[in-house]
Amino acid sequence: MISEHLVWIILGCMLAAYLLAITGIPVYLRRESLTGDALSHAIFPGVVVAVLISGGQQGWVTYLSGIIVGSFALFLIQTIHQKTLIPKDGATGIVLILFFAVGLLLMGRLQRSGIPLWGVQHVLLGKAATLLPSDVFALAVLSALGSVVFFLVQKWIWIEAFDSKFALHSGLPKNTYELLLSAWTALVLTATIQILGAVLSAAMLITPAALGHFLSNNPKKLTLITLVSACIAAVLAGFISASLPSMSTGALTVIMLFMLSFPFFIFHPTKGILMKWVARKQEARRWQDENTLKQLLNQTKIPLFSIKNPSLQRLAKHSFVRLNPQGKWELSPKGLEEAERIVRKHRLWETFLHKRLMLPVGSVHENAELMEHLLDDEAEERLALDLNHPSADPHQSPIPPRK
Amino acid sequence: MTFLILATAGLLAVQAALGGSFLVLRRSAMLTDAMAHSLLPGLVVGYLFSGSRSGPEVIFFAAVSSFLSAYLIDFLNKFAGIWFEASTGFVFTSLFSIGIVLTTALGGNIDLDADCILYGELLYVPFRYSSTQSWYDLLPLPLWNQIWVSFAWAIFLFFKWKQLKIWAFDEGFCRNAEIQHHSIRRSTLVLTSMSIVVGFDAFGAVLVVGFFILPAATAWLISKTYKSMLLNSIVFGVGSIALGYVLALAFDWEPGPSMVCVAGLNFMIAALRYRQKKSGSGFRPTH
Repeated sequence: MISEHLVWIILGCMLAAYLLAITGIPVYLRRESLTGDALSHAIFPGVVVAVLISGGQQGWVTYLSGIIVGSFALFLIQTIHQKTLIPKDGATGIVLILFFAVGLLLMGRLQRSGIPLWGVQHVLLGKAATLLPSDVFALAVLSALGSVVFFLVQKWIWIEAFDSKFALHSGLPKNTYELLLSAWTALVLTATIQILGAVLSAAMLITPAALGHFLSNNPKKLTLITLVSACIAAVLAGFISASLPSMSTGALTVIMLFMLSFPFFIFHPTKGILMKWVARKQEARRWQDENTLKQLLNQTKIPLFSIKNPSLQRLAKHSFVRLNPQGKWELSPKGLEEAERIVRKHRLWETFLHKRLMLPVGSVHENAELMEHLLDDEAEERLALDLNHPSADPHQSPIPPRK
Repeated sequence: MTFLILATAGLLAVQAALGGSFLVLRRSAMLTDAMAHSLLPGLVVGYLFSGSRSGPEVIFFAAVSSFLSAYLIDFLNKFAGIWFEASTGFVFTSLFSIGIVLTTALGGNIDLDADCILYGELLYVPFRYSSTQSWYDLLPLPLWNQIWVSFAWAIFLFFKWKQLKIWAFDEGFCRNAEIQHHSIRRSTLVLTSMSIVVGFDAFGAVLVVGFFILPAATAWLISKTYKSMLLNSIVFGVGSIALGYVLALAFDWEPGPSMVCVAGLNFMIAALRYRQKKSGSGFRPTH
């Protein structure tokens, strides 16, 4: 089932993904993700001209024109952003669409004149099936070069990403660095655009680095996750497209990356959207439960004390409250202790606001309603110490002693 | 015939100038590019339902998918803490890939090639009628679509003009003034996604994205007030459409890219003539 040709395709996709991922780390960390997208579209006129000159062979002509046009596009983005008040993303969009339209105009005009442009139509969607061993070889050379340079200059990449002003002071030639990075990015995109397509190369540039950064702030781990996830996605996509030959390998790679990274964005134990939502929900419940305990302690009769009240159900499960023989809710000894703890925090804070911050008695209650949920035991102890263990709050209600 | 093409494109330019001004001022210009890419899965789903490449179902699903992408970008940015530009890049490329794979999964049935995505069918616009044998046949279908969406924009602007103006300039102030800036942003994005889809259906992605960004940015450079920025961007948009079309006829170019190039040239001239201190034109909204 897996022919020799397919091995070349999988290898080519993996190398392209690796190359884009390793280039994407500095691009992403400099917060220029969309520049990658702009660049992959903006080099289009360069590719058209190169195809016109070389007759469709990917070679140094293509790479050179990609570098020239790409660097010019990045220079324009910078200049527009600095010289006018257009924000960075506006400038990016302007250059992207203008260059792409120029490329389309050029391509349409040449095609109408009967000049054949082999391979130009693959720039949009990519065509991995046309990979030749020579293309794979070129990708391998670029990947090796990229890796060596990356590991040689990685110190600067981290410093520059973390604090570009500090990098400037510690001797980074900023202009040279930016020029080299943009030329390299343009070269990498030119090399991969005909395999994966403009949009999909931009995706492979950003997504692995975004996943790496989401999962770790440690440079080594970030690099490892970025590169490994890109390679896994490319190999998986390669094998899927082995059984479904009509599928675009590039699009499958991006979908694999999506399926690798999206669950992390949702289910990550501390940073995931779901976990954050659950944590917020739990916090809200804790506040509600603590308020219920307080109300029970004060014997305030509130109609919501029905048997179905979810807060009471939760408290009963942890045996803070129980039903007495008359069918009414009452505090268990454990619940009483907990309720007194909250009331103590509330009243200590009221005393603090009144005595130390000189707030009038009438305006201390609202703030204490919030702080009773936020004070931890240590802060409570220090408050009591600071106020000489008061026995009553500003409203002359007794402060329960600490158990 | 020429009149019908220009009228349809002109209405698109007006909508794009309005929507683009808000998005460029709110630093979300690349969002239009993202939304134009991520309508693809919706297009395929709509095609599955209706069996044609342009119909109400297609437009509905494509608009939903394009709006959802904007929503998802904001969502990931806000709740997972992913940088806005990375979140934009992640979401639209993923949706675009899903669209491509869905297209190939349907086999060669769906008429969706690169040219079609890029150029649309600009020259076919005057020939696409609803064929219901009623008054709806008076104008071509794409022109009707443009009219309805322009109408929606007009209503929105009429009722929410003040809030929109404040939102475009100062989101922080909206919070203090108790203006529902989330719902204003959402409504703007809904209308934007409708414009993008209807424009894409008639003219292809390049023209739509170009006209959302370029005239608005040009107008921003030369205008002194917000109202004049909107008016200028409409003038530039419609002007570029007309000039681009004439040039395309004269030199045998593709009309869509030619219109975008004219708009881009227009921007470049404005940017070159722009002097930040001397003229005092242009205004800077806060973050």
